Amino acid sequence: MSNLSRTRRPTLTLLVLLLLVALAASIACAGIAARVQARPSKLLIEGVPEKVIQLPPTRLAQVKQGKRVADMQQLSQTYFVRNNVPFIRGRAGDEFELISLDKMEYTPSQPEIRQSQQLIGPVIKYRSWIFAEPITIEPIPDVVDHRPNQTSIKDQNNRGTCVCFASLAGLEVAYGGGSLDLSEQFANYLYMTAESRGCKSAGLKTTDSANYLKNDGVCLESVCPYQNDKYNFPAYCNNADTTAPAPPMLTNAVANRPYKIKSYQKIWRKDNLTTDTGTWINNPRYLESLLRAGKDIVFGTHVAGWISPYTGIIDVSLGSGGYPLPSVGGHAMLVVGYNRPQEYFIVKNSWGTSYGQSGYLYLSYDYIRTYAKYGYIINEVEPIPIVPLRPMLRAIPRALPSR
Amino acid sequence: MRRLLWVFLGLVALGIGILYAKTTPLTQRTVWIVPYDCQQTLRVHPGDVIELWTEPLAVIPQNLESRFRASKVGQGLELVGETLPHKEGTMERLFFFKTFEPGPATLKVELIDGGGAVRATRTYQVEVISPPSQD
Repeated sequence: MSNLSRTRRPTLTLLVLLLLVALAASIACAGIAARVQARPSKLLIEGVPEKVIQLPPTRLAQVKQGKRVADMQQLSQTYFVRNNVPFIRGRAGDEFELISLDKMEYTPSQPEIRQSQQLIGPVIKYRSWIFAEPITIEPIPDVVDHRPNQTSIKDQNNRGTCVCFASLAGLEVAYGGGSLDLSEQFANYLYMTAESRGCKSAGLKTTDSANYLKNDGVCLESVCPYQNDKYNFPAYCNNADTTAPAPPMLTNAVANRPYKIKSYQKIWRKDNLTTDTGTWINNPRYLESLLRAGKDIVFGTHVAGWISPYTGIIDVSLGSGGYPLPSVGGHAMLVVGYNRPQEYFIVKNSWGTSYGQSGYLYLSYDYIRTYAKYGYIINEVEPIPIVPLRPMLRAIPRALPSR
Repeated sequence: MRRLLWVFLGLVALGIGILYAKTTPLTQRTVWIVPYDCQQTLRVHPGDVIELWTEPLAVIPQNLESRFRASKVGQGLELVGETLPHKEGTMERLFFFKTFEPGPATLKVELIDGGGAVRATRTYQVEVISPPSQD
């Protein structure tokens, strides 16, 4: 009896050991194959401040939000199930990677088997039990570039009128772009008058220009042309006011200014954002989503560490103590595109075509996170009134002469 | 019931906060906003703050390496800080001087170019005078 137990014990131990090895090998093999197969699906919330999206009926294994990896419990506010149907609740600019845990049939290919064997040694049996099934959702474009839609690059010369140029660049493209040329000279007159400021004042909070362009319209450049040199301003302005157009131009401009904003949406900054989330100007993901929705963004930013002629990507430069360089002043421009792989925004500037990429600057995502102050998008513009055809109407007889 | 208790506690805390804020003496200061082209002698009292605005230099490539530097001559006041206005288009700076004791002083604001040379200088005369006695 004792002999029998002595002979059986090593056999049993060996069997258990073999079983364990086989189990471990199959788990490892499945894991490798899963890594090979898993293709996460990307889901992006855009166009609205908050959205609840019904997901395909699948068992989610993991949801990644931005750079943060979250499990189900952490994401209980974001991911929830009602009547066995999963949902995601996200805010504009939020990006999720979804990996499902649905069981599916899978047989590893010969190269994969060989790769597995090289990694974990001989394997007795392959079993596939849990694999990721990609959820089909439209891919996010890597590059969005609205430059072809824009009007020409202009030059503000030596005046502090960047807000006029940025806001009218946004308004021009909202009216369809092309050859439309609105008057920055008149816009400056409008803004400074609205602020009850005189000739010695310059500069403006960028977002205020949206209010002013909604309350009052602007005219065409041909009606009220831009005065380039602030130090050599025409004599009609007896106190060297750089904001007031010449009186005859002003009269024409006031009478002919149909170009105005009907509705807009302001975008503010939130300091100390730890992830790219929320509808803030310093969230590159939100700006991307607006650009994908066809919007361009008029925005104000701090200027720090720019090196002429600004042809490369303008990034955050660190000063003494390892902190970002302090701002030298504020500047307004128009965001017209992005490049996701290289992480920069394409921005229309108003310093002529000699600076940047033929007048466009590339600002890195980090620059926007650090220095962007606020901005707005134009949702709708007022229609241009059609000139009535009165002379033609008069020519039509009111009634046929009776016979 | 427990929720009600929390609401009650919150209201009590709020009430204590308001009472504390009302009974805490707040120092009221007079702030003198001075435009860059001011030529008058500023007459201020000890404890007042002078908010001095610099020239609105346009944000254009030629100016980006320029900066403003403020200094003072006189014992009665100190430069306590500087900031930027919330607007785009200009490179203005706001310098804050706090006054302490009676006496004359001169404020100086220099515009420095990228090479460190002084492009322009503006000076402002200040006279810190004792406040009228309360007797």
